[in-house]
Amino acid sequence: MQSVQIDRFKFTVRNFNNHFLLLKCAQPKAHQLVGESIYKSAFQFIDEVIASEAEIYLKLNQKFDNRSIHILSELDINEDHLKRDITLPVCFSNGKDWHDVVNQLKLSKEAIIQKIESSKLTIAMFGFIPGFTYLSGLDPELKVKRKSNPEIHIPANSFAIAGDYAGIYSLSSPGGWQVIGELVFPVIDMDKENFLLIKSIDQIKITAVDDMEMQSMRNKYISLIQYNGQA
Amino acid sequence: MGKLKVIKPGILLSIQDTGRNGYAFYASPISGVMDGQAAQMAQLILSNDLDWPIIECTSIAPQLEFIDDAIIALTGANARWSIDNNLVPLNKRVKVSSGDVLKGGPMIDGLRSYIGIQGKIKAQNHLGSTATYLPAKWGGINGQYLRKNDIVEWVSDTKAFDAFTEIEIQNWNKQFKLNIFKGPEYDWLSDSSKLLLTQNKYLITNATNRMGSKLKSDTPLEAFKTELDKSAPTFPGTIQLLPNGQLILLLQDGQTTGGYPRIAYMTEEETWRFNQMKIGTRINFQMHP
Repeated sequence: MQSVQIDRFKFTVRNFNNHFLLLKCAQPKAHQLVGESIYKSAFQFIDEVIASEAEIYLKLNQKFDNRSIHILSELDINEDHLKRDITLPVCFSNGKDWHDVVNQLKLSKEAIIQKIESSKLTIAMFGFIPGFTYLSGLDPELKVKRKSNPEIHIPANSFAIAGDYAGIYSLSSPGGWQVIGELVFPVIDMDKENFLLIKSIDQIKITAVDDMEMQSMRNKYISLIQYNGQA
Repeated sequence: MGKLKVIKPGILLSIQDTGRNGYAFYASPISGVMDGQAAQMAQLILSNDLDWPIIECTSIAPQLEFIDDAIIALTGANARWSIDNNLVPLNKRVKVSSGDVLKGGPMIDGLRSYIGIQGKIKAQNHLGSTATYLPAKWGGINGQYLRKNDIVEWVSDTKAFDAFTEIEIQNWNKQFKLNIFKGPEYDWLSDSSKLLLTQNKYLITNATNRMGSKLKSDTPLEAFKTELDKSAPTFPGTIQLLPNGQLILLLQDGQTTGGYPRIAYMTEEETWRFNQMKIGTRINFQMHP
């Protein structure tokens, strides 16, 4: 099997008939970091990039040749200037699955919220539907089961937990995660070319707000990005 | 500027194009036409740009009333299209007059027909594409399938009227044998299941939509592991092994990640052939050496 060193990360490379490559690294975080960097570089020989927790997928086109993999090795992965700290305010008052979550975890609602606020979250991947964000780094005591019967309609901007993850329903969709909160600001802005306002390398912190605060924040700031003081 | 009105929508009538390319990174599926060859042929016949919107019909043809004159091309499956009881030929430029009602029936030799209109169909653009994608309500008209009384508008492209080029009509390969390649987890299959994968006949079940198609055989496959530890990338053409030993083929609106073993895959062009095969068809696979 071929391998490629991209900055400080060593990836094994599997080439599937020049249709696509799968890059895999022993350090799981490398997939988001390097995936984002490859995506942003918009290489001529790559049509699509998917960075999942397990692998990076690169869909190839006719411009791919043997030298292309070497070009990847010249990428400079300097995460420090790319990394952003993003605070996501979440209103936990109306989450419809609190009853089930409290029962499963045998913790008070206040204790659960406190543990969520003190979790240092990172983005494990985007998947499921456009912009759906899997957040890892949740306090291990907050592990809940998915619903055995998924809901037909989970509203957009729902904040939910399931297994090792917290998740953001970027759009309304069916879903089986336990919904416990509502995001004050959407993570999607369809007027922007990069329609997702959070990046895969962002570090996410949740801050709890009540209904009143949610309303006043929505009046005061036009977007998640403005709230976070980012340009 | 021209208009038509949907009298009867048939099944899954939608505006599509060549897809929302370059956004899989954000979990946005590529979407777009299910049979790229047939759609492209309509655009070529009409001298339209290949990535312009087109109307996709599924299984049962719609009934459309043309409010304005138009030049159209019908491609893909034969739905016995007619106007005023006169059959309308496939794969040709056809002049339609104001007041004409275009209609068809169940598709005879496939599952998808395309109605191309000379000019550019007006549709909502999300992330550079007008392809209708229901889960996000993107593209088309409010991101929905076309319904009774919907109006589809287009802007005529007058320069194209003169540019008539004879194009070679390509018939699609209707064989029920589909070419596949070994997928990332092919080696998870037992030796006997590797053989079964190409020996089994697979039924295209009614659990088939724009996201994927469940395929069923009499002899389920066995793998030494039924789920990946962590979600891995998937794309249109990915064939996943379900825990019950049956298969799912991911299609144009399919998810970009998944947790089931990806035992095989087919090319985008091969998914176009698959997408013309009716529910209830029995197919089999031929492994690329």
